Parts: sequence; C-alpha cells; structure tokens
Amino acid sequence: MVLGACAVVLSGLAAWFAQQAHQVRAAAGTNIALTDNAATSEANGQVVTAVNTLFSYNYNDLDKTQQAARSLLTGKAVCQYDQLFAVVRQHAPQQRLVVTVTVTNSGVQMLTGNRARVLVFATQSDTSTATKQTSTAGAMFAVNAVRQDGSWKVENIDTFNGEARTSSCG
Amino acid sequence: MTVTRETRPRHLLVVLALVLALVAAGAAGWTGWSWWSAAHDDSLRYSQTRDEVLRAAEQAIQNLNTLDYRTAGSGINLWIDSTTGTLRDQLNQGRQNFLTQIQKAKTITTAKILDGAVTELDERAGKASVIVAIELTVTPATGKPTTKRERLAGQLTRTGSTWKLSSIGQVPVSAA
Repeated sequence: MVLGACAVVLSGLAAWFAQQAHQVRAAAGTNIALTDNAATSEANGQVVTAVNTLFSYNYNDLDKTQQAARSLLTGKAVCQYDQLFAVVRQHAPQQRLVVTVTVTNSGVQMLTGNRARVLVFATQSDTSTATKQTSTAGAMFAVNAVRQDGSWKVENIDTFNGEARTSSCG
Repeated sequence: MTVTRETRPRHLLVVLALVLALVAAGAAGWTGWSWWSAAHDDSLRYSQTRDEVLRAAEQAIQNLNTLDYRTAGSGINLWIDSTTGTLRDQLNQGRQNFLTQIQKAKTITTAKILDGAVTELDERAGKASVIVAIELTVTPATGKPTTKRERLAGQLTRTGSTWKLSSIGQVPVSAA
C-alpha cells in the first residue's frame, strides 16, 4: 500500500516537474538573439552589409548593384527587389541619381538556427548629379533573413505597411 | 502450504509496487533535474531577460508617447513611473510645464509600436539598449489627426526587479 502510494505520488511529481521544465524552456523559446553573441553579430553584420549594398546605386552602373543583389536575396525578396529596381532603372538615369544607404542602427530581434529578423534604421542620401542637389531621409524597416549555404540572405522586407502593400510578389 | 499460496501473490504485488515506485522515483529525479537545470540555465535566463527588457521598453515607450489633455495628470504620472535616473528627474521637473502646455494645446497623442529590438544587454550591470519604431497619432483640438513615424533609441536600467527607461531619443538622420 505504502509503496503503491509512493509510486503514484512520485509519478505525479515527475509529470509536474516535466511540465515546469517545459514551461521554462518554452518561455525562453528558441530565440538565441544576443544569447549567442557570435551568431547574433554574424547575422546582424551580414544583414547590414546586404541592406547597404542592395539599396545603394549609381545611375552610371546599375548593373553592378543588381548583380551584387543576386547573391543577397532569396524567396519573395527576389521579386520585390526586381519590381523596385525596374522603377530605379526608369528614373535614376534621367536624374543622374547616386543613392547611398547607410544603416545607422540595427538590432537582431529574433534568431534561430537559420532564420533571423533584424530591425533596421538607415539613412538614405540621394544626390542628383543633374541638379547637384542632395536630399537625406531616414528609413525604418525590418528584414527577415534566412541562412543558406553559410550566409544570410534577405527573404522579406517589412516596411510596416501591412500585407496589402506587398503587391504581386506572393 | 496454504500459507505460501496466499503470500505468493502478495509478494508479487509488493515487488510490482516496488518496481513502479522506483521507476516513478527515477522519473521524478530526472524531470526534477531537468526543471532545475532549465531554471538555472544561464542562456535560458538571459533569453528571458532579453524578452522582458523588450516588453518593458515597448510598454514604457508607448506610455511616454501617449497623452490625452483630459487626463494629462495621470498620463504624466505614468511617464514618470516608466522611467528612472536623469530622465525621471527631468520629467519630474518638467511636470508642471507639460501640464500647462498640453492643457493649452488640447491634443490627444497615441502611439503604436511597430517593431523593436534589444541591441545590448548587460545583465550583471542591469543595463540594456533598445531600438524601437513607433507610429504617433496626434489629434488636435480642431482638425484632422496626423500620423508620423519615429525611430527611437533608448536605454533601460534595472530598478529592483523591473526595467525602466533611463534615456530615450529620436535617431537623427545623419548625413552619410
């Protein structure tokens, strides 16, 4: 009788402990942003470099930017970028536009094995060599990135405008 | 002989109960250790602190960017409650001034957090840095509400068991 009761009580305890352990782990999740410093700065660094490269261009050499973009994009972002760059190709030569995007602040919000979300603040500086005028503006967006073949690639850019604005890119 | 026939099933039951009790004890020991190690796992705890810091930062920033002239007194008290250090001192000193201004302007400001991330976290020192993107809606006494987006960078300091904003400001658009 005593042993039977012991077995029941101990099983109950085991179940409770297991549930508590699960809760502690689930609350922390699998997000290793900042907990794994090396992985966090790698993801952050590569996303920052990608953003600087993707959105900086010179009307004189648009091919350079578009070619560099190929290795930095994946999934839906390929289509988003193609649409954006089609507009750039129309306007940049007319205004002889040189655009420099520099990320000023960034933070890895979520990082798991091969997925990351990075919040980015950037400064965009547009110089029209036709009118010799420069305008500077701030941008904010979040980048979803995936790790493929050992490097981080941009999969989606979220400008916080809701899904309706993402046009025809599935 | 009749005695052994009666005790044998009892004996089996005792063995069975003992085995069950041992198995249960083993399971309890193992899961107990699992809980203990999860609760004392440094990276899990750090991860929880990071999430807590972001929650606190977003809430504090939301509070500091919300003000209704009709309830300005309690609104400003909430600002002060969300902050610590020199930021808190500044808000305390400016309290009367803010109240006069807002009651004159009769505006209602609300904020929506668009996104946020912790950029630095020093658990031991109790210091953290965050960046947060917000959308502000300002409704004037007359006329249409306007919205604008702001890029904010802030610092948090642990006070007791909670994290509070110790500085906050807009990220300037620097010339590249």
